[in-house]
Amino acid sequence: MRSRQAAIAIRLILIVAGLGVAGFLYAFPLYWLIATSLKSKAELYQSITLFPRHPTLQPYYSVLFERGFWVLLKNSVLVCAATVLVTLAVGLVITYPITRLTVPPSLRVGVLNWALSLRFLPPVAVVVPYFAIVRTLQIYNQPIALIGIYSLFNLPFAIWMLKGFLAEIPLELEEAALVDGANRWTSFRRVLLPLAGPGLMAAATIVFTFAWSEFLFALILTATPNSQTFPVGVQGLVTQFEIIWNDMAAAGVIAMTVPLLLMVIGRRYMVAGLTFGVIREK
Amino acid sequence: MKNRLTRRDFVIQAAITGASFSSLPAILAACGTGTATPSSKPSKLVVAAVQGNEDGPLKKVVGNYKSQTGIEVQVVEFPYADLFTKLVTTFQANDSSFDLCMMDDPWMPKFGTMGALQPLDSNFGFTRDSDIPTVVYDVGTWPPPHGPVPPSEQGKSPHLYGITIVGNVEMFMYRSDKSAAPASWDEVLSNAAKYNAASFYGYVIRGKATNPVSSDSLPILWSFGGNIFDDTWKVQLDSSDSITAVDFLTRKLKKYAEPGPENTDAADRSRLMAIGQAYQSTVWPGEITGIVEDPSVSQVKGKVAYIPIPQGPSGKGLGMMGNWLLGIPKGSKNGAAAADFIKWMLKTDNMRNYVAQGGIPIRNSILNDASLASANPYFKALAASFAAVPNWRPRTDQWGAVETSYGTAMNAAVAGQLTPQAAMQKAASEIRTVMKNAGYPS
Repeated sequence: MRSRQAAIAIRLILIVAGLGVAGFLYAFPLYWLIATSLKSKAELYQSITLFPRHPTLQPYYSVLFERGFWVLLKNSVLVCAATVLVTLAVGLVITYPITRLTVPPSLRVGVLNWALSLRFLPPVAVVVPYFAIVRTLQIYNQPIALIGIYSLFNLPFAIWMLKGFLAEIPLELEEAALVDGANRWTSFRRVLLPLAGPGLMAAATIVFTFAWSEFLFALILTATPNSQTFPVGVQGLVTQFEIIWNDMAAAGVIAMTVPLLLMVIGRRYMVAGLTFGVIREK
Repeated sequence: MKNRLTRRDFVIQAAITGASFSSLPAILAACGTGTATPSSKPSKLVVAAVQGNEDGPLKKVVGNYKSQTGIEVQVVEFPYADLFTKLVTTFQANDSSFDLCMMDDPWMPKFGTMGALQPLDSNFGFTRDSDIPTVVYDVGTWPPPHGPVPPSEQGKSPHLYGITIVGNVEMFMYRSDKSAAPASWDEVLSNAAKYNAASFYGYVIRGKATNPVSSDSLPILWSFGGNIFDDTWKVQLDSSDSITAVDFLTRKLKKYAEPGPENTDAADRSRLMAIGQAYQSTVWPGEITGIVEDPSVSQVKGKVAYIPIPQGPSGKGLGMMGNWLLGIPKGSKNGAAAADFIKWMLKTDNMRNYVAQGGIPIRNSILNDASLASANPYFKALAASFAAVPNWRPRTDQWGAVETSYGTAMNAAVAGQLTPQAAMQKAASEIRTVMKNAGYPS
């Protein structure tokens, strides 16, 4: 009996130790990022220290105002918010018929597979033709170019997540509204949309997060701060003769904070969004 | 249920809505402001610039230009590696996003061959100023006024397409509190051996692949009598002089170099010097103003001296041009205003103010001004380097590919993965193929 208790205790200790190591490995880079963002340039040129000796917010001021990254931050928010709106709108237009109306199964499967194929497409395969389209449309260096491609690449997520959510909402609710005199649009707007709110929130959070961290298209399709997004600015802190570690860390913390806040706010919906509809095919 | 939609109607309307969203970008683009119309006096000029110590002083002086002329100058920064790509993309599209662009001098052949820039002399009346070194104008001229000319450019009349605003020439730095200046690379080696100690490196090699190690090694290559090309574009990297130079750097000097020199870039080198852990190395002025002589970070301010590149067995010490030029893209609709800005930058008083903000000047009168020497201890060496006429990197539009081959092979030699001979033979073979395919005599 005693040996069994000892075995359980050892197992518990090993599990806790393992989790501790994993937690440390996960958390330390974040700590290091934050600690570096609070160090001055002079301190970085002295010996490496675990804690900032003279903590300063100067790197944050430098990044946001002296380097003008607040404009890029604003662009990022604008582009990501617009991407969310476009993606969800198009996603609903595609998802509604295949979940709420009687459509041939082949059409439904075809649409879903098409959406999935979009996600499997490597961005680098699209970047050159899309660049040509952007040039032809004269939207190079304009946020709309990024909104277009981000919406396209995030559409599969939106479709698959919304499909799961919409499929869970009983058809009878809409039918009751129709019986009471509502038309299809009214029942969609007044009945379905409110019920699909959590799903929309989950999809919005994920789409926003993916768009927020995108770099390749933002680098290629933008030229000036009029349209550049935050990740494009961050990579500019590696200069030819100097790596501006503290500013880069401050930019990293800022870049991390926005989606992190969004995740905290929407985490309940996200878990639901990522698990809805994965068991049952309606 | 009169208003109820049928499923067919709904699918049709959904398709129409989807199509509307698909065309949204085009509709919005059509409603957009589009490109600016030409204006004699624009309210703003946009400069594509390299981010770092090179454009920092420029950003600080553009406010003065606005207060004097009413024209705002917006400096849009890109990392070194991205700026070239961004400019090529912009030039190919004949885009008007930028009115001015900063260019590293090895990019001039590519932009010159592309016809991407507006000539400053014939279009805007630029003439040579005797206070500015001739080589500064030469490096901004295309086709090059001396040295080998690419086959496709032979017979074209030279024009000035760029004016240097960052007078970078590669020099040499050493700890003057420990020894006198080395006169030759042999003395560099003996000093490296003498002062090398635990956590104090006798020599710092900037050995990171491609551009960094290429920049670091070319002055040594030239000073030893080696070269990448001769005057007829014949590859010389596998000559005995070139291999001797590479052997000197990657074997003899490496004995006293920092750990992992194959991963060291300029930022690491400047840091090692600034924190007092290195004795000597090559150096760009941008590293001096930004790090080594910056009192907020440097522990060796006043203990480092700057000299032109030491002499090699060839009897010459050849520095390397790394000037940053300002040019006017062909797509700019504000060429005249952009030219006025360049002329403003070149005025002596404005250049003095630019120097006060950390700028690297090109006027001899400023470089040799004794009142500026104590605050800028490298000015004398820079003036001497200009006077000695530094080498420029080969003036070919294939330089990007050439530098990649040479810099990759050099990196392998620094890392000890290839012998100096094997590295240079590999680079020479690749470069011969590149040049042959581009129509150069191989």
